[in-house]
Amino acid sequence: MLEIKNLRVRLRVEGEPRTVIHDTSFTIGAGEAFGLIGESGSGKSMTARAVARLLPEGAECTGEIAFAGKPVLALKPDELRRYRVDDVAMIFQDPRASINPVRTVGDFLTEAARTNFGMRRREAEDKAVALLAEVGIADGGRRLKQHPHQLSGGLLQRVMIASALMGDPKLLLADEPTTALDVTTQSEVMGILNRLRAEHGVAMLFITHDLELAGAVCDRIGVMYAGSIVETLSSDALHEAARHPYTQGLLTSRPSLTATTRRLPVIPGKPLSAFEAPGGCAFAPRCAHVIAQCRESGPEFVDGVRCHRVGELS
Amino acid sequence: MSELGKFLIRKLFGLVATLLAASFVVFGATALAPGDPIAVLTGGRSVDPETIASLRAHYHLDDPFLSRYWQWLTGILHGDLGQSIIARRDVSDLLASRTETTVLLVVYAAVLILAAGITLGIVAALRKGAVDNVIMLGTTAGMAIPSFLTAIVLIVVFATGLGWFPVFGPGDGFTDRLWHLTLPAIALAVSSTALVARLTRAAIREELGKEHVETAISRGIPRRLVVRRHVLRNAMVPITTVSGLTVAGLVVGSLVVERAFSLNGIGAFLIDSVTKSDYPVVQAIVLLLVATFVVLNTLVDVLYRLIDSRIEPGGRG
Repeated sequence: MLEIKNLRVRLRVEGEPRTVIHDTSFTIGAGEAFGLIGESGSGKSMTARAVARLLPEGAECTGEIAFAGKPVLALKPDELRRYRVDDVAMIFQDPRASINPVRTVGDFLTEAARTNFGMRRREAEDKAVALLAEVGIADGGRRLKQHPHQLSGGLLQRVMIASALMGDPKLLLADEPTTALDVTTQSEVMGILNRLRAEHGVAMLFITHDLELAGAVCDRIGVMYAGSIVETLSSDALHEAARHPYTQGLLTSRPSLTATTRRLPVIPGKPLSAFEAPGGCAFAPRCAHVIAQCRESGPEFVDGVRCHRVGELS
Repeated sequence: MSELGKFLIRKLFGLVATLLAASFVVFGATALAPGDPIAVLTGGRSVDPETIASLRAHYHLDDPFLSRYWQWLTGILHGDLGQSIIARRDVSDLLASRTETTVLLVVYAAVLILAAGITLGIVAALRKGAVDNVIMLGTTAGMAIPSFLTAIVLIVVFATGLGWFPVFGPGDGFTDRLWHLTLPAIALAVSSTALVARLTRAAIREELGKEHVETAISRGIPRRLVVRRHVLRNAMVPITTVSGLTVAGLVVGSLVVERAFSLNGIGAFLIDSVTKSDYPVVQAIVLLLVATFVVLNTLVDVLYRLIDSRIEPGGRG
């Protein structure tokens, strides 16, 4: 349903063009959950934004994004609006900042349905209350009259999830939907999102830096490093069959409940953004298996992994 | 009682308390100011001590400060602003016709400021590029030019030069008055319009960059509705603040313009009365200006609360 091919995004930072996504390709099938994981600055949020065409002003996008055959990057303003109305809905990281503070929760939930589908207020409110019940907010009728500042972050993110589902989208773009929440509500909200997505049969692009969470929630996972996907694999294969040294490094640098270690193994060095990456493989400076070839040429993305030494290592 | 009801009562209480404090400061300041009204009254002629004594007694000039303040205050609460020492008439009579001119001038200028300032600000904020640059350049110039200079230029060009507008005087009847007050109102409005335009632009630009605006866009809301419902509506809080303060400030600013256009308004009367040490008049006018300012500010606070329910009675954001 969603096909991304050789996506490349350049942003203008103080007039300088900077590559933030460098050659990224992946697909998401109807009803499938795809997790995009990576460190800060790896370009995962920008990928989600590119899919919704919500990149900052002055961004240059090349490559292909096709949604059910529609060329997303070439949509005219009116087609783009329809695409946002009918096909994709974004769930943002920080619900408090992403919901208009001066309007009521009811306004927020029903605005799109009333504006885009010409729904009557009553009708839209009924639908909103039903969706609020689905996200675990029982007193929806009362909540509709409240303002965002009267709700907790966890509740607001549930409102955000409900609002994303108001338009019956085919693809949810969830950009770190639990990062801004309290640890205790994170798993609750994640559970709700996961359940509703499955119940409504909506596909999802799930952005996170939590490898374990992505493995639990998604069907497939893409691992991003410095603006490109270095490996895609199915969640089931995450622990046994990770092939790229970066994915393996991420897996071993997690604390474990069962094993006792004096120090947590870490990947040496610091994560890079695409524009800081050296020639050759972007991960080469931090890779334990680096050889001369890695510094000279960037490996191609072949058979789900981007590594020169994949044959020897896995 | 509802949150809003409590809020209004608190605001009303604050308003009365502020006015009371202001009245004390105004009375105290005029009492401390140098200058002797008796000297002005007698015109420097030598007058026998008995007459002076009777004059001082008549105007209660030798009573203790607090008792004079109390008399003045209770008088005002009964609608008696006292008597002018120079004109020997009730201050309220003297102010009546002059107040009308000033109020009309200020309201006229306020309408111009709000209409032109907010419109220019919105246009500049939404149209990046040439339109924005031209408006910014214009407002920079507008803010830099003092109102007396604008007044002179307007008189030279539109009154004496082109002859479209009268040179001075307040006019008779409503339309004639508006015609007479057009140039003064423009002179009074120019720099404030520029200020309101710039701040409106800044407020809208800031709101345009907010994440919740992006959410609305991502839900496929048409741009013009995003601007109206999410940008303009939210930017109203800072715009209301600036507009309220600016309009309140006009009451004081009108004094210069009234002079330039020989309008017999409150401002001109205040300057005149200060030079003649006519305390009752000065006190009444200053208190009137302060009261207008405070009342307008309270109105702005109430408007805030209606625009953004997060604003709480204690003034916490």
